Amino acid sequence: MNEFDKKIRQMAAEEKIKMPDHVQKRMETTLSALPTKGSKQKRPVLLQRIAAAAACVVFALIFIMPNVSVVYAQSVEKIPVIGDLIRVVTIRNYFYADPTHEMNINVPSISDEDNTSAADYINDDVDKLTQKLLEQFYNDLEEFGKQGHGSIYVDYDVQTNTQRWFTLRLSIQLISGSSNQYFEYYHIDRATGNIVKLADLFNTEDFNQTLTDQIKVQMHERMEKDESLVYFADDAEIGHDCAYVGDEHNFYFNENGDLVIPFDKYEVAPGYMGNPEFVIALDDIQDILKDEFKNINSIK
Amino acid sequence: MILCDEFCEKIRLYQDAMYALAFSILRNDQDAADAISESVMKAYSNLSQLKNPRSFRPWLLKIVHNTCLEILRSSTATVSIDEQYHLEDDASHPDISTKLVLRDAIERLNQPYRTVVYLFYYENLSIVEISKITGGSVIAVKKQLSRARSMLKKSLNKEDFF
Repeated sequence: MNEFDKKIRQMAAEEKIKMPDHVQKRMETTLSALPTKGSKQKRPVLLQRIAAAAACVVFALIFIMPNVSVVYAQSVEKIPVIGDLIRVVTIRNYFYADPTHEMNINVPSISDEDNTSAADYINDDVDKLTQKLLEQFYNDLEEFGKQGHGSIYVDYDVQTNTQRWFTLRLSIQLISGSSNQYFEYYHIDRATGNIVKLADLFNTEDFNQTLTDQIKVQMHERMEKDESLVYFADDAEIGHDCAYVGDEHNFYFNENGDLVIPFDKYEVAPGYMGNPEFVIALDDIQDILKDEFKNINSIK
Repeated sequence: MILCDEFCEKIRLYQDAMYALAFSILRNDQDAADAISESVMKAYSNLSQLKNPRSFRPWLLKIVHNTCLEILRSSTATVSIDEQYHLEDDASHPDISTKLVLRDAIERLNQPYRTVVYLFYYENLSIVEISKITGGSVIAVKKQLSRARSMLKKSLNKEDFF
């Protein structure tokens, strides 16, 4: 080892990097949540078969019950929240809990007599997404058993339900050591009966850059106002394009009818910033909105 | 077989190493805490895959490293990890005329140099061990370390340093 390396290692030994208290506290919380048994052991074949059979029974009960139990079906029918224009009910609830796992998935189903194809599209997409999450949950449960640790929660809310516009928001929360929450938005333009993606609102292909630029400006403004806020705006380390808004990026219209662009956790900011959102005033993007959406802020 | 209590003790033994590695990649405490929690869960779930208990530290650090990259990937959908790992342009740094401690100098490095420097100098790991943790080839790690040395020499004030 050369003199330089020796010197650097000596300096490193003198400048020990210590885990801060708040990080250590978080780590201790994770350690205290670990199952108390030893490491995962290979289970005997007979036990594996019994476990697999038990899992099948649990799986069948959870999946089949909503469809075969009248009482259960009636109970979920009572849950409908939601407006009188498009009907939304919780069609299924998947629930599982043990000391280290929890799952609670509410699956909505929408019915719109005027726009059956759009309603079917949303129902199919929600169904595929929830089935994928269920599969992932049970695979982890089967593979790791009590040695694993994780929870999945899925719920929904109707953000807009008017003669002109319908928005359903699906909320997905995944917890495994750390917690991550993300959202899926579904929109129906009731004037046309079409599902609407972000790109459908605009008359130009350059809308992505316009929105991205406005979001970056807002990021800088927020960081200037409050030093505790951090966004990856033009951060060379993370990448200049992390705030880029794609054609099918999530969006919704807020209570003022303005366009809101939400981002997932970690997407444009450190995890502690949660799920950042940016409001784009419709007045600022009138020239690139399609005519039919220029007055969309009246939908509320 | 490592039991739960023993596992927790080992995690506490290497907590500073996990934190420094996670911070070198993610550069903020909150994401580092997320990565560490996630890594602890993964390590515990996969303990049976650890063949040699003496390899616990590099095995754990590899899990931390991979978890950090997963977090980075989830935050950089449009930029590949490879693209982030580039040589920092020396000209982009202000002239350093004041004395800098080692950690400040390392903080000025881009990836993958921060992580390689940290693992080599702070954790006293060999180039082969580092290559196993980062998933790079031995030759690549050697080159990264060599470039990092050059950059460190420029950053650290030579008169104070030697």
